[in-house]
Amino acid sequence: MKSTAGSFKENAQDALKNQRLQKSLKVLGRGFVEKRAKARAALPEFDELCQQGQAIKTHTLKHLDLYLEVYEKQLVASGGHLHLAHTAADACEQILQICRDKNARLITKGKSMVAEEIGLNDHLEEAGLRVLETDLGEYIIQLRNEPPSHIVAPAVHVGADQVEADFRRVHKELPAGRDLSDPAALVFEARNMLRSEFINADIGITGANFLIAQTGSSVIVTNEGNGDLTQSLAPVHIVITSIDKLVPTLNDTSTLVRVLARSATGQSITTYTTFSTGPRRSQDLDGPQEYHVVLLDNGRTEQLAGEFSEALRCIRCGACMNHCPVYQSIGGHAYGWVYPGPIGAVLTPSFLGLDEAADLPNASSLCGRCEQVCPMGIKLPDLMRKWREKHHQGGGLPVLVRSSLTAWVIVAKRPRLYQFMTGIVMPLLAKLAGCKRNFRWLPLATGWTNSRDLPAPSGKTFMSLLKKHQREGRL
Amino acid sequence: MNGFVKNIRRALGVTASDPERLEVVRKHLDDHARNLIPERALRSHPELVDNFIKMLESVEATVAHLSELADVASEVARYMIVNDLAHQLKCGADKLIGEIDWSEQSDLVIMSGPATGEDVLSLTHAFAGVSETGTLFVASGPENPVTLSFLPETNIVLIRVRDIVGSYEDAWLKLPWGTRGPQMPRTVNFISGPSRTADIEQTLITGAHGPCHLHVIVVG
Repeated sequence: MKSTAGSFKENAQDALKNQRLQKSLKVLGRGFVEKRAKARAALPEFDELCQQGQAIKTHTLKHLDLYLEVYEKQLVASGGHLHLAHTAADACEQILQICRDKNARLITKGKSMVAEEIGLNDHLEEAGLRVLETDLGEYIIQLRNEPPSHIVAPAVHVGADQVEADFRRVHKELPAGRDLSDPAALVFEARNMLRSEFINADIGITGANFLIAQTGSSVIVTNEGNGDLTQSLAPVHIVITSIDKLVPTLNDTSTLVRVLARSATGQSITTYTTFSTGPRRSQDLDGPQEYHVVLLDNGRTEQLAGEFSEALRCIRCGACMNHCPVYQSIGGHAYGWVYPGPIGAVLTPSFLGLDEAADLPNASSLCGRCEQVCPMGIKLPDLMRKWREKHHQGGGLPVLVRSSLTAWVIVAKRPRLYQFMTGIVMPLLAKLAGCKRNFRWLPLATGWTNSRDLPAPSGKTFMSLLKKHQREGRL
Repeated sequence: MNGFVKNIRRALGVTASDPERLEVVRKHLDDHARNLIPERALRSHPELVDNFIKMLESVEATVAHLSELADVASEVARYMIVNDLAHQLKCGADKLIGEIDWSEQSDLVIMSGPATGEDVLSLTHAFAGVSETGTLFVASGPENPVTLSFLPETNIVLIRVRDIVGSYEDAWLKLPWGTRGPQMPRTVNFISGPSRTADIEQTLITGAHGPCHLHVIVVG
């Protein structure tokens, strides 16, 4: 996927002015946040399960080489094929090669963020293949030629009336006068349009939420059933996934399943959780004849060695973005690449470099809600701070910001000078603000005052109050 | 795999032959230890069954609890009449379904095999049911071809009451096991309710791409 993370500030400005988007984001903030809170409250063991899930992931990453070897052995024993992809380009090429070997023309596809990461659809379409997204949200954004704006709800930024307009534009063979005012009618129409495509597809591609070393299985967690139709009706099933999805055993997977849906959509479990192991067995009457797993690294091994390795625990539930005041204000597209929100702010610089993505870890108030709700206990604010430090050390900050920070450091390191200066400035500001106690405009602070008032200081500094209280014997 | 794994070992700063690490992994896989099981999955069997039904109903499935397998045929016929469905269904070569006596439903057409786009109703057999979330476990195979669970508009799932267990961990034990784990069929499907989507303005709508209706018949 092409990145626009480099123009994050402009993207964010546009998003804030986009009334439609703002309306959609309000619904998101209410929906997912409340549902997760309810799901957590309904399971007394939730927090402890999360801690165990974290331990499982940490243990797996620490022994990733060995578990991958077991996984490969089991996958091959069950008749599957494993393809190892160091880079996004490798993965795209391997998948295209399988498609060519099978003379495939129509590819149905379940939702996969790794496929977005490697830009799979573009690659296959450029080679003349027809790729059809079958998850409703993905189908909608494919019709609109947009990237997903959320890792769980990819079309969360699109209104029902826009979906209606898109369906009328694309489904030309259907009667023009049909009633699509109800979202259920839109769902029904998409269902009918896709049924024959599932059956006629030459290859079905899905992602994986988990890979299980013990059994060589891949797991998808879904609600619509499109992933299952995709992988059961086409003669070839390709799984595109990455090395961080590995889990040792079925029992370990069960623990993670218990926290994934609750964190993501607030369901106690999604409608479908599907464990796929190899191709159809010799007596089976349906299912794919071939099962391929394309396993992507794309910088993850490097991440494993570095200070951002804990981000590899991520199970892509989306809770961090659902609860993030920045995401709630600007939506997913502003982040400019595959993974938005706090986890995106941590992952995108790893994938694309700080030159492209330095604005993302800076676009946070470090309020810590993401860390609080992350079922995998990823210290997202700490990791964002680490990226900021790297950005600063790398000389990436603009001169004005850099010199201001340097000046501040000089003063802050000298308590007497600091107290002297604040002792002058604070009363002055308080006086200037007058009885309103707010600034509507202040030189050098227009970035703040353009959109909100700046509260004025009370006039006394903490140190002067402290000294006064000490003199009066109140302390 | 070699180059891939070598890179990972370099990143982790470990060697392939470290006996301690090999032992940790071997033990983790062999033990196949359970992690925390929620208390709700550890209650008495009648309570587990009650919760199983309650959870399924909370996700828009319908449930009928029958005492005898002999009553299944008339329950299926009743469901077809109430929901105005054509009197035909498709199922696989499942042994339990094979024991159902359909003789009193003379107008019912029973077809065998995987689902096609024309099938409107399927009957499958879940080898286990998990109480904690109202989840059916269905294994693919000639007994219950996987497409039967996804392609028809309505899916009726049969489950014996004794196959209802508390947790996912208990349900996995209902598969035949080898030394290190269960012998996995091509797919094991956890099913909890009819298919659904909330992709349009977060409005929950049942009947996305999979079945629009899920009817569960608990027997025993």
